[in-house]
Amino acid sequence: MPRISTSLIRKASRIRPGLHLLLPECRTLEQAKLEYKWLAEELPPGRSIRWACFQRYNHVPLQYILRSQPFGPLEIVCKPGVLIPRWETEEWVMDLVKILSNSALLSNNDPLHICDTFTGTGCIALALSHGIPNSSFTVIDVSRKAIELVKENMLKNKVSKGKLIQRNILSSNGCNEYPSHIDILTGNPPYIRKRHFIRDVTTSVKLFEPRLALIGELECYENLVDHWLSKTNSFFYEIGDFDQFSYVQNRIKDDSNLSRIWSVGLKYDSNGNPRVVYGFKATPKGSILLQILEPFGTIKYLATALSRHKANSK
Amino acid sequence: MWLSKLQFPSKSVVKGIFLNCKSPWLVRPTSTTTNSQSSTTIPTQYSELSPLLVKQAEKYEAELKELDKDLSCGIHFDVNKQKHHSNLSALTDAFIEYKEKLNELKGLQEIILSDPSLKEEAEQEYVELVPKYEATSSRLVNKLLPPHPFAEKPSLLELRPGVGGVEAMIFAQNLLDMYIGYANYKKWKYRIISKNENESGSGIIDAILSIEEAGSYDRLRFEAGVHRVQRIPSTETKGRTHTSTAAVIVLPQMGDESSKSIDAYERTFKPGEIRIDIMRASGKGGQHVNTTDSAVRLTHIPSGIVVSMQDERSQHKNKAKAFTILRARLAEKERLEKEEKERKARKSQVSSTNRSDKIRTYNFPQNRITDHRCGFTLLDLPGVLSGERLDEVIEAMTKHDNTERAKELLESN
Repeated sequence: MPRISTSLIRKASRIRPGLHLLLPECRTLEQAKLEYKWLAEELPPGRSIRWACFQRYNHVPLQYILRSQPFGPLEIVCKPGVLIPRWETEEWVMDLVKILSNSALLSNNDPLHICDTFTGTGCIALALSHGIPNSSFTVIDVSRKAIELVKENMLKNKVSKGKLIQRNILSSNGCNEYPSHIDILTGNPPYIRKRHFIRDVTTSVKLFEPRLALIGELECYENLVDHWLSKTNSFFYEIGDFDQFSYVQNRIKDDSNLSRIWSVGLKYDSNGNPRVVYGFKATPKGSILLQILEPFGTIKYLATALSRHKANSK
Repeated sequence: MWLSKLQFPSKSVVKGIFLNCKSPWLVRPTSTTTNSQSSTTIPTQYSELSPLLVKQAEKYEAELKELDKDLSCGIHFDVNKQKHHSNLSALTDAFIEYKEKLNELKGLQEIILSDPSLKEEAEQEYVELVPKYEATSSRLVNKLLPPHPFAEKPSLLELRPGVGGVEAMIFAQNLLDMYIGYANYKKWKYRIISKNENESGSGIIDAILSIEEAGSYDRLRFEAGVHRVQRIPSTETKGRTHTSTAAVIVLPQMGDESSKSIDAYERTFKPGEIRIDIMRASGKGGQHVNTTDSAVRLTHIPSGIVVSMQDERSQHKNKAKAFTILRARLAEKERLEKEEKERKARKSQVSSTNRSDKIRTYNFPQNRITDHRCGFTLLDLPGVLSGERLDEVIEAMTKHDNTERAKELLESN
C-alpha cells in the first residue's frame, strides 16, 4: 500500500485536529472526513473524539469503537471477539430477503424455519427473520461471546422467536438440540485459507478480529454436505474463493443421491468476487425456488430430477 | 387618474412593487362609455373573463349536474370520483358567484346611466364592488387551471454554487439557510440528506435538502434556477462588489423513503437499465477486509443520470437514498420532456419561465431582491434570507405563473 504523503497529513490536521490520525485506515481525505463525521455523531457517551481518532490510528475497527454496524434495516451491536458484519454479507442477505418476502412460499401458512450456523453477531438470522414475517430461527455458534451478543442484538432489534445454541458443529453432529427440519440454512463460516492469511488480510482485521471466525479450509463446507443437506430444503453459505464453490458443487454432483435432488448456484458480489454458494432440493417447493431464485445468482448445476421434469414439461 | 385607480384595485403587495400586474390577454376590458347628456365620465371599467374561459366553466357546470344526477340515483362513487366531484362543485360555486357579481355590476352600470337621482349611491356601491369582483374572477381563473401533476408531492432541493469561487459557495450556504428558515417558518419537516462543506469551512460544495411536507413541491418549484448575488464578499479585501451565482434544483419526491418502497421501485427498472457501482479497491473482500467505505453510485443507462451517495455508514441505506434521488430526477426529466412536447405541439410563442437562466437577484448594497420572471421587487433582504418573507416572493411568482398558464390554456382552446 502506498505511503500517505506528508502534505496530505499536514492538510488533514489543519482541517480538524485529529483528522490526520484517520488517514492510515481511510486512505483518502474524503473517507477520513466521513469517518470523522460518523465518530462525532455516534460516539458512545464518555468517550472523546480525540481518543477515538487515536484508536483508529492504532487500527481498531470503527465498529468496535462505535459498538455498532448497520445491517440492512437493523442496527447490529458489535463487540471485540465477534466478527463484524461485512457489506458483502449485508448485500446477499438483503437480496435474499427481497426475493423471499415477495415469493409464493410465504402465501401458504406454514412458517419458514431459518437456521444460521457460524452466526457471530446473528446478523444474517436477524435480518432474515425481520424481513420474513412468518418465520422462526435457530442460531448456532461455538463462541460464548457470540451467543451473548446475539441475545443483545435480539433485544435491541426487537426480534423474538429465536433459539440459541452454543456448540461446535464441526465436532458434535448428532445433537438432538438441532432443528430436524430447516427451510433455509445460512452460514458465514470462516473461509480465509491459512496460507493466505498473512498476505491477503488487512492489518485491522488481523489485529482485532477473532481468527476463529476467519481462518478455515474446507471443513465447514464438508460439514455442510455431510450433515446438513439431509435436514434442510435449501442452503446459502458465504464463500471466499471459487474453490470453495467448486468443492460443494463437485461433492453434490459426484454423489448419486445428492445429484438427483440438489441444484447448486453461485452468486457474485458487486465487487465481482464469488460470494455465495447456494442450493435447493427438488421438492414441490423446489420448482418454485428455481423460479424465485433466478435473479439471486446463476444456477451452475441443475438437479437431475428437475432437469428431467423440465424436459418432460417441454 | 380616477380610472386608473379603479383598474388596479389593491393589488400592490405591502412594500412590494408590482410591475406587470395584469395580463391583457386574460381579460376583455369593456369600453368606456360616456354619458352624452351630463358629459361626466362614469366609472364603468372592469374586466370581464374571456368567453373561452366562461365556456370552459359552463362545461364543468354541466358535468357537475350530470354527476349530481348520478349521485341522486344512488350510484356508488369511488374516491377519485368524489374528489372530482368536490373539485367541480368548488369551481361551480366560484363561477356562480362570479356571474352574480357580474350581473350586479351590469345592473349598477345601467342605474348610473339611466337614473340620475340614484347616481351618487350607485357609483359608490360600484366602486366598492369592483375589487370584490376582481378577487372572485381571479379565484375562478385559478380553479380553471389544471393543477401541476406533482403539486401534492413533497420536495427535494439541490443546491450548488455557480460562478464566483468561495463567494458562490458561501452564497449557496446562505440559500440553504434561507430554505431551512422558510421550512421552519412554515412548520414543515425537513432533513439535510447530504452536505459537502468547503474545505476551508465556509460555504458548501453541494447540499440536498429534503422537505417532507406534502405539497411543498408546488410551493417551491419556482425556486429552481440560477440565483444571483451582488455584494461585497467577506473574501474581498478591496471593497469591490462581486456578482456570483448559485443553482437551485427542485425535484418532486416520488414516494416515501422506507426501504420497502425503494425495493419495489428498484424492481420496476428493467434488468440492465441501472448499473450499481460500489467504489472499492480491488482485493478479495469479504472477511479479508473490514472497510468503512460504503459509497454507492447508480447509473441510469438510458438517460445517463448518475447519482452517488456516501453519507451513511450502511451501503444499503446509501443505495436507498441514491434511488430516491434518481427517481426524483427521472420524474422531473420526464415531466419536462412532456411539457416541452406539449408546448411544441401548440407552437405557442410563450417564453418558458421555469428554465430561464437567471431567475432572481439578491442585491446587498441596495437591500433589494428582484425576481426577474415576474418583475417582483422586495426591499428587505435580511427578511427574505432568513426565510420569513420568502413567502411573499413565492406568492408573487405563483400569481405570475397562474396568469402564464391561463394564457396557455386560452391558446390551446
